[in-house]
Amino acid sequence: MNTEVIDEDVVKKCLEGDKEAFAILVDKYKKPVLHFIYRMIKNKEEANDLAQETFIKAYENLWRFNRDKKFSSWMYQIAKNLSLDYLKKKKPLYLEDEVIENCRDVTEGPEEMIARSETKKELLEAVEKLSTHLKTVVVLYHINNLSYKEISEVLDVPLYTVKNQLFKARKKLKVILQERSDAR
Amino acid sequence: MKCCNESLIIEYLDGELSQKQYKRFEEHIKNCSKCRALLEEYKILYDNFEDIDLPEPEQDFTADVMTSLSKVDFKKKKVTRKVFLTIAAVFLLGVTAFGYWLPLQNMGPIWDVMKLFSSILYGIFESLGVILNLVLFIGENVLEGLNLLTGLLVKNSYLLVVLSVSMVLVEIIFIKYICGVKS
Repeated sequence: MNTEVIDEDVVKKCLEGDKEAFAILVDKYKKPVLHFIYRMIKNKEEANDLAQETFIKAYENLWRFNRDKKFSSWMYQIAKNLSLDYLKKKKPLYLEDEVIENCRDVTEGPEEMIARSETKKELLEAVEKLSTHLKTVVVLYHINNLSYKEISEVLDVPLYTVKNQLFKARKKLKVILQERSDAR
Repeated sequence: MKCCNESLIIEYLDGELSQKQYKRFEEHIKNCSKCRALLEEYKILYDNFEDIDLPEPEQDFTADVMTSLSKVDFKKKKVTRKVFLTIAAVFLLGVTAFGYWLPLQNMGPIWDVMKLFSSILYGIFESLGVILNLVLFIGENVLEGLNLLTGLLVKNSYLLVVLSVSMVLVEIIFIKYICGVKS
């Protein structure tokens, strides 16, 4: 079933005055929106507040939503703008300690798990070193699993810009990780 | 195939290669240790993005959002916007018509100053109009703005014509009778 058709129907209901219908969209998108914001700002409590603000803002501006676009892309767009505003106001950023627990590969030994956790931690720290633009595309692609096309819709940039930015970001991440592993 | 092309490796991992390119790349890495090593480095990067610890939304997330939503009258907002856009469009059309019409009138030497003044005013209004347009359409969303404007012009064309004509008539009456000028 096409999920976007459902989103559109819900938006239509909301615009017709059915406020409660908006809860369907909140339930559907609260997790990805929160994950995106959390990876952007790295503060769980603030991320939760900003995610809620994203939905409130989306509802208040629902009449502006262009129904030719995907609702999810529009949500990410609002979440991105709020995150960037937050980052601008909150400099310098105090990094939260990363707790990396969920290593699904249970066949790994304890040493391998520690090494993997360590690399994950380093990778996330490396992501923090990227410029905001590059960080945004990386989070949208690798955390939210958005396609190139979806990212281009969220950021309102051409597809080749997304490709180019992702390429640059990964190259930088690889270099940072390489430098760290060489320093060890 | 160009050896050790990093963008190709990334496109391979992203699943962006065509079937033909994919096969050629797979053949290539079998024999190229340099590309294989580079691919491994990127694979580690990709793998480490998997299973990253992410927070769960708070239990009352949806309820909190729903209680914070204020009552919005969407229909009223849409109408207000249309009215605002119509006024802006009429204002621009009126000013443009006035700016074109006034310098064409033969009003005697005293009106040379007026002509100059009107062209300055016309310039200012035109700039204001452009800024207004930018704020309205580019500031928010170019495509959405254009869509709205096109829709608006189609739906309210009669209104635009009537209002523009009345505006020009008011200007003519003002110049001719209130200022006492003969054209």
